[in-house]
Amino acid sequence: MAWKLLRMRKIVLPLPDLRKESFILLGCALFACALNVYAIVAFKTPWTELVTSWPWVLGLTIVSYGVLCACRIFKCGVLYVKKIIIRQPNLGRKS
Amino acid sequence: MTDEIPDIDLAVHGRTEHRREVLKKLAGGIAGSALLGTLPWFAPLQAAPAGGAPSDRVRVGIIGPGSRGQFLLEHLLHTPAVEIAALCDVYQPHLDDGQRAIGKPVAQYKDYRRLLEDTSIDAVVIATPLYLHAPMCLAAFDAGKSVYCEKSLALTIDDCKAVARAAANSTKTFQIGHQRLFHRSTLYALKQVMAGDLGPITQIRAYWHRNTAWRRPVPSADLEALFNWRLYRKYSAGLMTELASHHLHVANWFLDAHPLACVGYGSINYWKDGRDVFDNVNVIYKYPKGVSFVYDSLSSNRFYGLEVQLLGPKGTLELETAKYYSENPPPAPGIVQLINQIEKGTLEAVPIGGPSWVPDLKKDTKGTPLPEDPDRDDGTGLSLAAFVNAVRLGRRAPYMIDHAYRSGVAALMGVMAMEEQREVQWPGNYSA
Repeated sequence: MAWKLLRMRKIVLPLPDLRKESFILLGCALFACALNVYAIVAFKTPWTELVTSWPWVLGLTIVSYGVLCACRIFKCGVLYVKKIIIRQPNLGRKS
Repeated sequence: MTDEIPDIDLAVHGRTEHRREVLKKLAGGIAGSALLGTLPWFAPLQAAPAGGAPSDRVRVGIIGPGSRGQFLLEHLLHTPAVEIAALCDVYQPHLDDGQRAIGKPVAQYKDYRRLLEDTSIDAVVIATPLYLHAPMCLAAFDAGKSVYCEKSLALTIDDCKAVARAAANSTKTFQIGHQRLFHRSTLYALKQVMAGDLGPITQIRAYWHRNTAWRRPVPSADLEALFNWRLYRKYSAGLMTELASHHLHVANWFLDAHPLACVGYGSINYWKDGRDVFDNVNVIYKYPKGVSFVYDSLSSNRFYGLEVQLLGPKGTLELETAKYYSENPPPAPGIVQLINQIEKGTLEAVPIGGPSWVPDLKKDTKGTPLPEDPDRDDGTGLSLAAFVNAVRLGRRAPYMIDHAYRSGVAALMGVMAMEEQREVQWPGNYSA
């Protein structure tokens, strides 16, 4: 029935996947921090911005994680399509 | 900064008991404030608020409880130590409105001279058309009353001199209705100027633009002058005395000087409805040290509204919107600059050919807001509280006569410059 199809499924993320996602998020945070340090040096602004610019760093972390997610989803999509094409049944043509 | 000027909440809806507490707090704040030490008209507020004794009460008569008079009346009703004892107006509905606001019967007069004969009245508040300010102020001083007179001071320079001289010779209190003297954000602006945040003031610009006929509907034709007195030269000097005098007052105050001379042009270019005061004015005042005050007022466009801008090499203050703009604002955080640079490099088109100069367009910076009263009181409440305290204590309000005289005369200089199409010089002090 339609309502059963629409019912939300409980998604359980296995521990290895959770660990993998955490590492990716941590990587994004480190990337944002590195960008902040680069900006402080490049624009000669005070080092206190390491602390005071945390909302920007947080925002950059989320944005970069989101971009990364989008890239991974795209990659999965490409692989899935590729898999379908490879599994095409033999139509009897001789090679 | 907040330790120097205590929060002032004297909004019109405030309870009397609440105002008493506010004044008590303010008195404590003034004692330790360096800035307020330079504003002597705050001194009467330094005294302890009045107690409940009859001798502590100030009996006030209101001459002209029309629109502005009604506003002052509302404030006075919530000011400690005030008893509204009488009302005077030639128009009965204004008397009825005033009576209703007071909520108990008080003496009513049609002739202000009868009100002044009442020896139990200590002070009068004058909120009448401009041409009546001088005769009423002079008669009030003659009758031994303290006077709170709405701006502008008088309709002619001779009248301004006569009123200022009478106020100076009187032992009673005189106060002019320039509420910006008590306006919180204006006081902070003064503090910034004194601290050198602008550098020296090199120009003051002000404008007051509205899109209105400024004409009120009249119940019958014979009441035209009574209702629309601002539109007729016989009773008023129009935009200069009714609006510009506020900003001229700020210029005189912040520059601590009177204008030396002025030139200007005015005309009736839109509201050709029988009025004989200009519906647009454009005046430039010359101040000492080569500083100019540039003023214009329109009645046919309201896009820019009103503003007074104090300009110096280090920054700009806009008093009506209560903001400070530094000429060199601190740079944005490095990461924001980096993001902006990436955005610019990615999204901005590369110009192939164009002007070889960058236009000096207005800087699009947010500015630093100046503190304002919690209830956006424009200073009127505090101004009346100071006046009443000064009357109660038998003190004169220092420098009030100078504020009133300088702004009143400056407004009239502008009118003369436009009407006579010549440069008008400062006519000298009132004692001269």
